[in-house]
Amino acid sequence: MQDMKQNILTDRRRVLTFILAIFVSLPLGGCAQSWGWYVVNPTTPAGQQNLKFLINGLYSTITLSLTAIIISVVVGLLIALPGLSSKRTPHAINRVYVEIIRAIPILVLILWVYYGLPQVAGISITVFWAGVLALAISDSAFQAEIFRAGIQSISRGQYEAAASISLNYRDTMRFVILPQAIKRILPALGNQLVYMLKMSSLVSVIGMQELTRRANELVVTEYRPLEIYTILVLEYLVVILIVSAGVRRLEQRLNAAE
Amino acid sequence: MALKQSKEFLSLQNVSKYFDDFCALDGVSLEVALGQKLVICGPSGSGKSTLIRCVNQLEKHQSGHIYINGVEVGDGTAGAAAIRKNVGMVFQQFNLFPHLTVLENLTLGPTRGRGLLISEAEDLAMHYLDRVHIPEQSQKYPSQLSGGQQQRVAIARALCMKPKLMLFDEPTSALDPEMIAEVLEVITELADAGMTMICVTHEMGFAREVADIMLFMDNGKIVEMAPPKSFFSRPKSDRCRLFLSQILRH
Repeated sequence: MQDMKQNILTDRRRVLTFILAIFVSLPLGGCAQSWGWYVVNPTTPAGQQNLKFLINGLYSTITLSLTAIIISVVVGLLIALPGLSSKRTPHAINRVYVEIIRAIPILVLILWVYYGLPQVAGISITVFWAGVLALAISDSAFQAEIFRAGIQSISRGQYEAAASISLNYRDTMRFVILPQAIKRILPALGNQLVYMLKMSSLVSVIGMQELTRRANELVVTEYRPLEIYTILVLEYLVVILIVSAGVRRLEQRLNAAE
Repeated sequence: MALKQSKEFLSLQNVSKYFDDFCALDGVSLEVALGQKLVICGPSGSGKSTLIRCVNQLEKHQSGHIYINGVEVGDGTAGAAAIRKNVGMVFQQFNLFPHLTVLENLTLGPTRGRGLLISEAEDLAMHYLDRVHIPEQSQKYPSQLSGGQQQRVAIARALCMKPKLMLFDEPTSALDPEMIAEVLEVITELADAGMTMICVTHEMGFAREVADIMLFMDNGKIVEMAPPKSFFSRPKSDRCRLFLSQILRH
């Protein structure tokens, strides 16, 4: 056990060193003359200002992604449940929703929700909520499939045991089936969260001031796409590595209790 | 057909159950009075499990009538309530909730299904854990227990619902040999305390000791039904004689 932990640790260290080496070697490589790190040089006031401008998009990216993932998990579960029914109508509702939503590209959905929905529904919608809505709807179809698979993996005996101690459908789901199913699908849910963080960059097209949009805007004024987009990559990398580590820790904690 | 309700606690009248074309129960009729202990045996696929699963409606029967305490069970909510109030079940595979501690396994039914306070449910749970001789395991998870301990927890979980009738579906078939005794002992104590029970098992020594009535099933029918003494010494049907000779040989 101790050995394995040690191995994983050294593996992780090796991977991180490798990634760092790439990013350090890039500016020192043969094309060093063409780099202009001054745009994000933290020792100059201008560079500091630019860095600050870029990093300030973090808040939007994170709130956007988290709000969207929460909504999509809830909607996904609500869509998954009728899919488990043996009756035809609820099952059909699930299939139609999943098949249609899954077929719409996220970028298209973002554009449609932001520019189309206000006209159809006669409402005005902020960039933030248009982004959240589009990301959440799009992701909910995948969440629904993940939940369905997770719930179906729980054995029939668990339902029978719940029935034998008088639990109704709601309590059976809430106390018996879902806690076990969610534990099993946690890696997949973690994947979706990472995916969501990355897809949130698409919301930049409707003007949301998140990481990608800010990088784009800075590129337009500074003409330094290489350096600025490299910083952008690093920003996503850091956020997502932290999230991944968090999900893995949660998995370990849940596995420990049992 | 003159079908009338019976005064007995549990009554099955001409109950049939099909899985697609396969006839799992073929017109079974049976009466069980309060305090009676029934032991069912028979070859696999004979309908033993289906019979007791129909009693608490884990399987729905397609024809015939089942009455519990005078209430017909089937589609109606009254029947469902009668089952909830009166019938407990123990499964071959224990079916404990792996994500909950032993204590939580036991209190879930009383708190959610019966509306007991958590403190009342815990007292109840500890009382029954005591009765199955493992009060010290209450904070463990099922995976930390042996098979025999898990099955005893499952028995305690069923008892926490204060059933009048306990159904045992091959409670020792999934156990290692050395753990069978501890589970049978608990069931025997329960029987001695007057619990009404139907038990599907191939543990014939246990059956002889506990049963008021022995039942032998084959092809979805009750082939033989007799008190254990005459059941074991003078089985009437050839099928039952053959079955008994095979399982008692070892």
